[in-house]
Amino acid sequence: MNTAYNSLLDPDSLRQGAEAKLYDCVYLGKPAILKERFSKKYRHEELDKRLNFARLRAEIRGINKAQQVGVKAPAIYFVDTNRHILIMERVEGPTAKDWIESQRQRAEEEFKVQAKFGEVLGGEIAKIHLSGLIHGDLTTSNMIVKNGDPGNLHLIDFGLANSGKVIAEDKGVDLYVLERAIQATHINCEHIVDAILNGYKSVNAKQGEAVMARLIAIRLRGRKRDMVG
Amino acid sequence: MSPGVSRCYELQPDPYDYTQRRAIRICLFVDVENASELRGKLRTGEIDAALVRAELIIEPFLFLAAANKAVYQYAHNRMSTRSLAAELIYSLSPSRNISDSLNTFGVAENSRTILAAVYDDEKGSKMKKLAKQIKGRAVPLDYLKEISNFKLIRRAYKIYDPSITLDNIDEEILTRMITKECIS
Amino acid sequence: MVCILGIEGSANKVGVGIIRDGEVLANPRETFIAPLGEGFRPSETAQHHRQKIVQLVIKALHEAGIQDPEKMLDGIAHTKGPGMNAPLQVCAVVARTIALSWNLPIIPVNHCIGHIEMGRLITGADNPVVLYVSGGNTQVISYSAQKYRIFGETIDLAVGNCLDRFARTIRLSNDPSPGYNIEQAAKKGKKFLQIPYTIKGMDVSFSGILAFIESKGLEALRNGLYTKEDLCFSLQETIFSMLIEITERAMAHTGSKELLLVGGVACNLRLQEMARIMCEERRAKIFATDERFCIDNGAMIAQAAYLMFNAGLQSTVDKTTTTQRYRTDQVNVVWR
Repeated sequence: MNTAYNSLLDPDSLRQGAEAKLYDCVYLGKPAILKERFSKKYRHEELDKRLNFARLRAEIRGINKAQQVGVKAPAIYFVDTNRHILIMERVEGPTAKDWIESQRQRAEEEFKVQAKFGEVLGGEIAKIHLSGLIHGDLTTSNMIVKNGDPGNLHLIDFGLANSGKVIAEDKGVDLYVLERAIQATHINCEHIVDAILNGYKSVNAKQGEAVMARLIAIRLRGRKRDMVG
Repeated sequence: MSPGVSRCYELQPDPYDYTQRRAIRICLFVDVENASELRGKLRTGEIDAALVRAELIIEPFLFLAAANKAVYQYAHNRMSTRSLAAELIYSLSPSRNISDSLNTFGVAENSRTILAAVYDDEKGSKMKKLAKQIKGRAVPLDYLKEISNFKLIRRAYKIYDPSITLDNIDEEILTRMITKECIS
Repeated sequence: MVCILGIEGSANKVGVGIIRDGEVLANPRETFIAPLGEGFRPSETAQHHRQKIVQLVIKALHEAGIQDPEKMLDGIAHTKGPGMNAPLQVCAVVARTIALSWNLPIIPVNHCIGHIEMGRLITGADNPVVLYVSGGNTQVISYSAQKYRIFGETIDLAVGNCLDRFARTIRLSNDPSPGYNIEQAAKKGKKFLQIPYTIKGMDVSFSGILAFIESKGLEALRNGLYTKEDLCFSLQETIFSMLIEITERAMAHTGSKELLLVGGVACNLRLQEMARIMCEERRAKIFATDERFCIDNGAMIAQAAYLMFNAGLQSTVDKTTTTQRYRTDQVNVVWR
């Protein structure tokens, strides 16, 4: 045989995300990731089945839709709907979470580079929103800075994505979730949030205005909520 | 056909079950003169191979992913077409319309370049036999880069967003063809 | 040795606790139970607290064996917020009065921080992700750089509020608590009703669920397709799965291997069980407390105040205001 490609799975590479197990593997000669949505024993069987299936579908549709509008997301190499397994492109690079923290030592440059990252990210989100797709789980763990280049951002984990009847409120919540995740995860990184919102607005002014108005209302709601007991 | 021009790849009907293995041998032909005749032989069953319009294939990996999807569907009794070869061609397509898919991606009357594939041909004997029927020149697979036609590929996969270029089109194509049953 | 008396009364529970160097000396509590089909109202709750609080202080001192509070106590703590204003005021007034008359420093405490610090004390959890679930709060919290940071929370109703309101619509008793009665009824439920499941990142939303169960759920009840018990069961399974899921998301995001459950809803054994299974699946350790410390109590306020006192934080009487809204991440955690 001239070339023999093995599809190897590296059992030591297991990472347990919140809803799936991830393994590094080699699929038909390419470095890949195997993502298995396993059954969660803590939840009711019926609910578990429904969620696993819905999320696999949401992920597949989300990646399709994102790629269609030129937003980078890992290519899907293989699907097994019975076992809720996807084999996907392995995007090399740190998560945005690790990348942001790794920039901290670089004092002056840090600010500029992080702002660039924020603008790119905001733009990517605006693009998927414009196409009627909500990511649904925007945290800095769910994006990869490919090869450490903030201009080459990949969105991952579309399991909570939804598309279809999407209104400004949904888009606002998507941004609100991200804003809160950044505030909780990254200390003194308000400038990144500002850059994200700027990048978001720059893609489409009409969408930008409508969603910013919702975002402000959503933030207020959060702060005004009663907290009795 | 000079030896070493065709390449054999291992497939896995279940990517996580190492015990079930299959193989596919691929060879690229250029300056093909008898495409019409080959189509006839495919119809009668004289040739059992997947003959694909090479200009629509952007890279070999994509072709392998489709080939592997075909054996997976076969192993699970879920083929949409009647043969593994046809299933491979159908798997390359972003469409769920079978005859459209076979027409678009299968060898055409006037095809000059063909990507030929035969399953389970570790030793290369089947490919040798097939090559004898193709009036053309077998060239190394690396040559595919020169043949694939970005414009035709865009049209075949209905990819029109300007931000999708040669750099990232393969990711988009892969996702589209592999997941077409899950989208609707 | 440092000994603190803490007063809690931000919702329908009023409690006085005394803590001396991590030891709970006393922790008596009284609960205002609203009439069937009603929630507890601020004015009635405050009235209840006014009637009980002095006895509770005396009882706590007695149980703790404190004959001379001026000498044996080092400070008085009360809940600053968040909570209902009128009941909070009652506790603050009592705290100020005894602090002045015994000549002791006074320490206003964030209620949520009280829960977290009490949980850490009782369970020995070191640096856990905290799931704080109660009538008014639904938060997934993790500590970093002098703040308890909120990773996930509800974007509308609190989980306890959702459960309480559901209990009212199917006329479950408020005694001892609506949540407890739902938990008991759920044990007899069998048939699972599909309820909307709404997660947004690490946040949850319950308003759609409540609207659904109040319309479709009650309809199914009237048609005899589902029993009250089935509804309690389905609601609990769905809501708790959402909570455990966002908790797991936060654990994956922060890389934490410990989970601490606090707040009134955290008493629920089914929730504890689900959290335990989730933690086993990701090889994390789980910490939970029982109803003495899950549910609002005075000792938790005393414990948070104890840490603040040792870090040199205390206030003066003129600054001991209360506030209905006081976010967990507003507190500067100087003691860690």
